[in-house]
Amino acid sequence: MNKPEAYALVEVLGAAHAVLAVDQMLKCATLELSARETSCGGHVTLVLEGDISACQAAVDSVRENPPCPVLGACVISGPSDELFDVVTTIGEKMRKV
Amino acid sequence: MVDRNYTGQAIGIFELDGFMACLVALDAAAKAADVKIQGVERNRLKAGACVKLRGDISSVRAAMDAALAAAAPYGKVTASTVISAPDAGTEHGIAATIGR
Repeated sequence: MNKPEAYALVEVLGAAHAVLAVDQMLKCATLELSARETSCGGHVTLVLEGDISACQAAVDSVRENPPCPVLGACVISGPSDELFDVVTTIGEKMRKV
Repeated sequence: MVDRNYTGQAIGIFELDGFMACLVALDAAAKAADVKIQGVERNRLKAGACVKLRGDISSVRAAMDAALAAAAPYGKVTASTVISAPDAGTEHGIAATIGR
């Protein structure tokens, strides 16, 4: 799995809301869910990967008409190797569940 | 978070109150200087996470400034510090909580 062109990151409150957000983002752009990190406090961080324009379109769609209260959304273009390692590690943990 | 041998390298730790802010800061740090990420751990307090940077002292300082600047719009900084010459005992303390 090679390094993607960009990551789209979205943080929402609540696992159910995370499903809503992922569904909206995947429908509006060709992206892949690479990691989902849930922790105490109910915050769910979603990391999707794809090319820059797709990530930007997905983040914009979540920002303009959010399916749920979105705590933050941003795009990281040209991710570094370290970020790629971190996201793949989290992704592996997610897939095991 | 490949486990490499970090003994003797400077440590940079920062904790932000958002995991997304940590990823943004982590990316900025890795791009700003030649630092390795030893670990990213969620803290059980709220939704933040703590990131551990390793490398030589000047890179860690530059990476820390870049990271905190990049994360400013996304989350508040809970704590951040740089340890220039960690003791051998500190290595165990740093590595103990990774991957919990």
